[in-house]
Amino acid sequence: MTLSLKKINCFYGKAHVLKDVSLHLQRGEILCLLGRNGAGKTTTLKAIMGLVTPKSGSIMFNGRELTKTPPHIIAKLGIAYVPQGRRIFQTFTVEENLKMGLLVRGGGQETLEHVLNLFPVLRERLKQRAGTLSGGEQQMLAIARALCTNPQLLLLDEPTEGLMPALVLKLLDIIKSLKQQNIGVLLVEQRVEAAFRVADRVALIEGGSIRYESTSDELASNVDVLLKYVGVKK
Amino acid sequence: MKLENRRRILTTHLSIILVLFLLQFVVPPFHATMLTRIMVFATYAVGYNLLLGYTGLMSLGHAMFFSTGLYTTGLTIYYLDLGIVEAFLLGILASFVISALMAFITLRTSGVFFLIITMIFSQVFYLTTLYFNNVTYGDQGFVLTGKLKPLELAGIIIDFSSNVVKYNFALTLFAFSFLLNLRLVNSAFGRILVAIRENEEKAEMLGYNTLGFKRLALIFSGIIAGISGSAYALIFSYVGSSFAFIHNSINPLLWTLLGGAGTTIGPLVGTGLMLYLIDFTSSLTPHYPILVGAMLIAVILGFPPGVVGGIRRRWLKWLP
Amino acid sequence: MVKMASMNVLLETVQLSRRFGGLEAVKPTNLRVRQGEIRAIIGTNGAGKTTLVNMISGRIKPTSGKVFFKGRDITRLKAYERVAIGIVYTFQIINIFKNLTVYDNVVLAVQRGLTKGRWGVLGLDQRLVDREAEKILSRIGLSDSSSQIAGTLPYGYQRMLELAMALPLKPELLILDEPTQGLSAEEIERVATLIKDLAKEVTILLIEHNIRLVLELADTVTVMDKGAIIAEGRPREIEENAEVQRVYLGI
Repeated sequence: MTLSLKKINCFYGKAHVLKDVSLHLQRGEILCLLGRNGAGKTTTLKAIMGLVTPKSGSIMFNGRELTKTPPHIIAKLGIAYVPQGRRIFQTFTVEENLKMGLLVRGGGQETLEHVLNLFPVLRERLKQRAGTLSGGEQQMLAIARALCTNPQLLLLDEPTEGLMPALVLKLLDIIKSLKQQNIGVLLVEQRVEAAFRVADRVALIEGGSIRYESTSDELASNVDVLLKYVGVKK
Repeated sequence: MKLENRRRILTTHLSIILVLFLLQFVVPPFHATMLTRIMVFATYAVGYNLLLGYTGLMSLGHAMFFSTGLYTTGLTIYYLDLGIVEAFLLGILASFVISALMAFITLRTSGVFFLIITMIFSQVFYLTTLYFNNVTYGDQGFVLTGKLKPLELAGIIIDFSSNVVKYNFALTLFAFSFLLNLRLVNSAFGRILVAIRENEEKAEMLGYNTLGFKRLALIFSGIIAGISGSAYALIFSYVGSSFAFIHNSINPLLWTLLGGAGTTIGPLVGTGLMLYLIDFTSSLTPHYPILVGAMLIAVILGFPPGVVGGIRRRWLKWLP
Repeated sequence: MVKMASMNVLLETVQLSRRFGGLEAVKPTNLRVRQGEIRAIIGTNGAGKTTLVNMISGRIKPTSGKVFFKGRDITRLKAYERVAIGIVYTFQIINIFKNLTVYDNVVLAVQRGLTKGRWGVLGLDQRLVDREAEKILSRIGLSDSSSQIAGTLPYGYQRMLELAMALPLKPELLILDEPTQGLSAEEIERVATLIKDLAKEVTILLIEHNIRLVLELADTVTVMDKGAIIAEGRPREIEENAEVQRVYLGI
């Protein structure tokens, strides 16, 4: 699996939201895209998923150009997107939500079992209407559903938001374990800690441009960059 | 920040009333009658818009409010020989009673359910007028000509068979509703209605009794609709069941959407546009509804939030 | 941060519980919040935190139990009536008037705060409302954005607006439901400063997952799991509590 963004430019009306953004991701790699609100993190994910069409640049996934491909085809190709804000089907049950995920790439009982083992609390709530779950549970459901599509590439937009500390750690462990399954992860976050815990590489985005890219170890020791782009006073 | 706006808004609204007043002196009699009609129905639409455009509640039952005014005024003059003033005031009172009743019954619902329940009550009212057709003359209706006793106010005789009186009476009522509506929507009350329309749950969590405010909006809306019904009886001297039928609930909806829901001037523009459109096209062909429909589509495509809504969005952002 | 909290109990729930069909979201719970304190409620996802405060703010009805505010039984009061007596709730998922301007959003709160009673709002002086609105916008730092449509604001600003709308309602008990969710580090600092400032006059009930923030701000911490309170105490005690560590912190 390879994902390659080359000089992507996106606009919202007249606003130039992504400026010549280039990224690269291999199978089994975790790349963390760090940046503040409004920097362009979510737009990057949306561009990959086909929800936003870049004015120029190319997005190659396993050798195939994505920029003119509709989102549902991109999903079938093996990219799963978990947007910010727990976007699940409120009126479906937990089980039905997960089954929606299975449908995308023909996953079966085995996949479902595997995912439920990762998130045991969802197993207890299978027949419950998703809208009645707590915020954090909905977040877990959103991620579980994405995993039910057996993706090659997982796009996560601030997945730890609203989760209690124990779950944040658990989720980050789950994300890390995806490496063994050769799944690539593009993780968008505001919190540096997440990057350090799981990411192989990090890219910092600000004002629509990638300002810095390195391995996460390098970033951890680069205090100036940390201060400048993430505002961390560690 | 908002005070120059206030002056602009008031000037605009008063100018519109002034123009309407002056038009009677320059237009031929046919158009004067058209304008009288438009002003009566624009009053109806103003009332409807208060509930739809500002509070966000779509009703299909306003024909009932209109007809309450229409029948109360009409029947009391026809059978009880009441004077115009008494009949009119009774019409307002009856509208208030019916609106208040509806406010307490129907507002526990919203959205589609509200639409259906208002429609049902209105249909029941319509069927009632048919049921008692020995009194109401049902669909055929009855006329008030010869029964409208002239009024004497401050030494002036006001005779309702005169076109001048009809025009200015309609104008007075329209002006009253128009300005009352402006006052309401530009106040804290109006802001709360908009808040309820935009996000009712949040409005409640800000401490507003949203149910109470919706009820008040419905009552104001119903009374204004009832006033227009009473006015219709006095001006056009005709009372019939057709005004209680659902078409007369859909009309203000159409006029409001066309002119611009949630704007103060929209109802007038929408009503005027529609009535003239129908009049113009019906003289061209008996299949005029197709033409009217086509023109409506064209207008909505060009101005999705209605004519005045579109103007507000593009050019005159300060319009209320 | 140690506060000289008064001994008055401002809010008390007595065996307050809530069922959703077969699920007991909140087991009979006794919560006592003292006047003047900052009380943090932390807990596992699905523990019932939001459900509990929803019953306090009046958004949902309890299945059983009572709520007392300043000694008065308010269990039957509707949500909007509780705002009038001083209980104000800010939403976990931002809930502002997205299509209205920032100014209009704030004015709606201001005009409510300036009047008592159901219909008092109908006789308000517009200039007074405008002045108060300007003050609030200034305090929160949103004056420059006042004519912007609220839904177009960056996420962090929308959160601040949500908070800005709680202030004019003159809360005595301010319930903040995950106010820092989705905010950057600097924005979280600003919220923390605002909370500390508010706490001088207002009792605060804070639901949070940000442990650092909780340790910094709270006088008392209540921990919930599976619908019940499993621990309650000073922040340090809670941090060191083995059960809390296992179930919540994941240590």
